[in-house]
Amino acid sequence: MGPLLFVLLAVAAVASSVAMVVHRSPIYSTLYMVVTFAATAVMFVLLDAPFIAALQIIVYAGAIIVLFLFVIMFLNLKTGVLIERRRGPLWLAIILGAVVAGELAAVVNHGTAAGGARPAVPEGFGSVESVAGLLFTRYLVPFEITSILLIVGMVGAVVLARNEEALPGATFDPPGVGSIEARKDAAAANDAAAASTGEQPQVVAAGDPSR
Amino acid sequence: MLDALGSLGATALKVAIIFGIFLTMVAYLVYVERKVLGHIQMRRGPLHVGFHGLLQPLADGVKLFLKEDVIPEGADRALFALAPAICVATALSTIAVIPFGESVTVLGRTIHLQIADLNIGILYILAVTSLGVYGIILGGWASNNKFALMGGLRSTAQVVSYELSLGLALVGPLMLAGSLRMRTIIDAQAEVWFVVLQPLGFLIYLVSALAETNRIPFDLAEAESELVAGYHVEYSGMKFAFFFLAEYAAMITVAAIATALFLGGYHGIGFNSPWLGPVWFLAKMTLVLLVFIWIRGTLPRLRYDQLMRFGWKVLLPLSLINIMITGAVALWRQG
Repeated sequence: MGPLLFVLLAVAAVASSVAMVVHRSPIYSTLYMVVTFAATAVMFVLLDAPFIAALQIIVYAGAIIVLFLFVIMFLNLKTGVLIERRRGPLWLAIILGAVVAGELAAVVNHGTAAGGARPAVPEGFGSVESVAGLLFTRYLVPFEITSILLIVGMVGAVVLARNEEALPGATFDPPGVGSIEARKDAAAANDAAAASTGEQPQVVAAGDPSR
Repeated sequence: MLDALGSLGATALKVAIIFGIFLTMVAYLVYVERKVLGHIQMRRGPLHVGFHGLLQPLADGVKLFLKEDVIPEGADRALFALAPAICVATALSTIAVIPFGESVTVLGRTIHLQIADLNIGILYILAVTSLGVYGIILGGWASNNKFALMGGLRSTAQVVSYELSLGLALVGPLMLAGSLRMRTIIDAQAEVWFVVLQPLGFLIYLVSALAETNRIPFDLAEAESELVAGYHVEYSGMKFAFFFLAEYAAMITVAAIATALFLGGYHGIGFNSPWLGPVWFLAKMTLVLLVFIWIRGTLPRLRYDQLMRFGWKVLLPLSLINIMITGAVALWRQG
């Protein structure tokens, strides 16, 4: 049962990875990536690491890829937009690919050659307790440094994406409506004008071209 | 071999029974919602099919089966069909790890009233429900309709945002029970329900659960007055029914989690027996669901920026504070 499941999952993972790379629609590419993640998550379950499997689904499939999809839909990327033309010669790509494949084969070969003498899996391997224990004792410093790096990256992205004009004291300002202050000013001016001419005040929002 | 087949058969039977009960509950939740909302609004609700409209869910089901299945022009046909299937599959498979009661003995065979007792039970639920958002976003996109796309995007942003505070609100009970296994968490509440020890966590959970299930006051994804119907505006027939089913199944799931993690699960007040466990569980779940319906009948819809601000600037810090307090108290009690 185990080996059969593994082969099925491996085929699914590799096939969907290939499909992710070659598909012309960005949406489909992202979805194939989800399939790859799901297949590897099930492999983690087969390896007695259900905690890692759940994390894989929650973090990658459930959050990160959803944001990918979100951005693709927001930018309205059409099919074929993201296709890049190959630069550089084909033979170089083939040689480099062969080198990577050879390395992978060597590693797998090395692992299976030592096959019988693999160390036994420790008790509670892959459980919540063992992962948390390692993360919060032995690898505490790298773990914290990683989280600081991530926060710095996030703050950097927010600063870069921030609109320079809307900086000091900016309020919620959707396009075509005008800021709250501008609307208040316009309303006040309108009232004043109406009071002086004795007409009914017209409701006019500054910066609203439709009125 | 025969024994293994027997236990496999027993498990299959159990899955079929729980599934059947679950689907019936979903159908009747729709009926209860219409009836209760009707009475809140001084109407009478469904009345004509069967005694006091009790057969209305059946009639609705038949109607949805017989409706024409329209696929809009320019839609992505494959994803259009896949989206409702994702929604319904993820919504229905969460029920697998929820324990409805302790073990009972039938015909000399001990039966656990739970399909699978995973040791990461609650994480399994979070993982599966986090995949449900694909159904919504893909349904919105594949429809080739701007209202559907807007609804799908809104819903995705909302679900991803509130997933954080929902997950963090659950951390409190997990810390008190010291386990992610649903049964251990429930058994830790034999004396005191966690709602007593975690009132803030329970409130945060309820609010986030309303947002996760796209219900009033957080139903921005299908705000009728702005978006016609949201991500499922182009769907008809059984495909629409699948989205509908998934929404109500998700409601039942969040109510079941609330019951299991905060309201003591199958532990009753006074009367406790293995056979009464499911009764207590269902009673508490029904109470939570009635509160959801009551809220829908009472509150208006929030604006989109209010919703986002509330999620990130109020609920998320509150849930973090809750975790810190829980941890500090747990440390202090350990001495």
